Amino acid sequence: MNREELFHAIGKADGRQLMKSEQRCPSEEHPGKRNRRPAFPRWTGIALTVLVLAAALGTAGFFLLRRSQDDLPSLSGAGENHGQSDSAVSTQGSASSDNLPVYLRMEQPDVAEWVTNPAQSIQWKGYTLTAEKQLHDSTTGSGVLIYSLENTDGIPKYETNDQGEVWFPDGDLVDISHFHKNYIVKEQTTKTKLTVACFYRQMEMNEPLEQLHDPNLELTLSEYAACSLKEMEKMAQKLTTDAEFDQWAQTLICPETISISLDKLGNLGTVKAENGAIVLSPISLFIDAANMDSLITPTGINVQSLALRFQDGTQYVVKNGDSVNCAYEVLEPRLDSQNPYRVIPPEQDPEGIGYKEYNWVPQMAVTYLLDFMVDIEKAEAVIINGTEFALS
Amino acid sequence: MQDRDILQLYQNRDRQALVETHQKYGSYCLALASAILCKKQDAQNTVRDAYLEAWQAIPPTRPGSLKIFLAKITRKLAFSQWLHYDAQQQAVGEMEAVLEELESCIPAETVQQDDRELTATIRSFLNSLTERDRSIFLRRYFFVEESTAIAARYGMKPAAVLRSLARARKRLETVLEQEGYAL
Repeated sequence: MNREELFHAIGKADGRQLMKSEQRCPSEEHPGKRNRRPAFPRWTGIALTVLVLAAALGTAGFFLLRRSQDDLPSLSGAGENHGQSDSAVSTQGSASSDNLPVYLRMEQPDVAEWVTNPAQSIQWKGYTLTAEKQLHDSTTGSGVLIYSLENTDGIPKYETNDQGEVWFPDGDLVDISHFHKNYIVKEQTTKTKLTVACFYRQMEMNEPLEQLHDPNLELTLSEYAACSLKEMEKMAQKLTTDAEFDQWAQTLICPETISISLDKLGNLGTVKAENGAIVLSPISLFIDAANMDSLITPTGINVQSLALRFQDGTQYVVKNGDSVNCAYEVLEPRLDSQNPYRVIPPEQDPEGIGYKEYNWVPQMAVTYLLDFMVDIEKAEAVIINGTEFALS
Repeated sequence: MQDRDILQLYQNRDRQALVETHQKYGSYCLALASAILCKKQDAQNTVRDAYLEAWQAIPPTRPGSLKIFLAKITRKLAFSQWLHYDAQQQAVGEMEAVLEELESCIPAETVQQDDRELTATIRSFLNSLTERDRSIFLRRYFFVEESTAIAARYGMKPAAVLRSLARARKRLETVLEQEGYAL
């Protein structure tokens, strides 16, 4: 017998047992309730959510898209024509007066008035996690949080991509409660300090649905700050009883959490179109297509191309096909159930599935978290799929 | 569409069965194939082949769960493709880690037994686990999920998942020895 034969044999497991393994919380009496504190790296959660949503919609209804420098203008680029209209497409001018990423503009006088300082810090296992600055837009529930992770012994190995997204391949050291993407702030990063611009959208990953728009943004140090995945595996082998192991695992939980009340943060100011269905703030763009037939397909909102047009005639392309020239595109989950992991009573379950997954309905709204700042007073229109919507 | 209605389309040899199967289980099968293969194009091809195998099998087969029936076919085809990668030294992703973990359960020198006996041994082993340990084992070694994803699925700490897997592997090693697989 070899390992391949063993894997093959596991493939003939009893179908009922396989079906039971699909149930999400087999050991919990009330599976809809989850621990308040995240129990796994957020990227894993996002990936899982993408799979769940994709499975529910047939085709993926939720995208975490990365910018493609081949398809779209870079933030520091000059005027370019990207073939989607006859107009010259520029990243300069009113999109941002200096083309600096939003997190590098926080010190500037015109932005500083909106920036808050959470002034919260926690320490755990040699790490210091500090929430430094924040720019939050309460209208669209999105923002940027600058946080730092320090350790005098050095920061463990992390990776970045061309756009500056940063992650820890052996498990994220920081758990963050809302949908987010992390970008490295190279200018403020050293061997012992990693500074991150976290673009977040006010939506919870693992909470009951009533808390999808939780008013608190929470950060804490994960188990991986206390113990690497490899060390965890060694301990799992070494400790002989469950009680012994559980006792040890408790020591990995950081006792403190940074909690930022988003409700108390202000509004950056917005301009709107289509009676409020389109909202543009200096750092985000929200589109609710529920009453915009031209943007709706059977699977929900369909934004193929998106650009901002300014008074001086320049345009900023936010999206072109699958490429997004912003930090983050978040489609709103729309659910028709108040219980995401509902266990079905046997009498309602002729197929013997035992549980019911999320019931997703077509998503009608999307938020773009912009990684540049928009002078909203100079923004004249939003162009979606070639149709122009005047802002006022 | 309910599974029973889709299965009826198969029984009627109505090709709409494939459309409905894709609509309901396409992403599910693709996620499983992708976990094994990592290459998107190959995973898509595998899922398409799985549909065809299901089309050829039903009828006469009438699966109790269409979802698991498709999962089993998809897994089998994806693993065949992965072995092809492995032969060409192109194997990547989680699959290699899964096989290494399983290898640790196999006695150093084994007696060859036929497939049916091994399948029966595995079923017996799975029945000996608690429901939670069994589900975690299947998520890892049937669905090729990472421990962090399993932890997310069951609302557990990753460390607890690793602990459960280590316990199950130890148990499997013992069962294989007891069932006479060790020389």
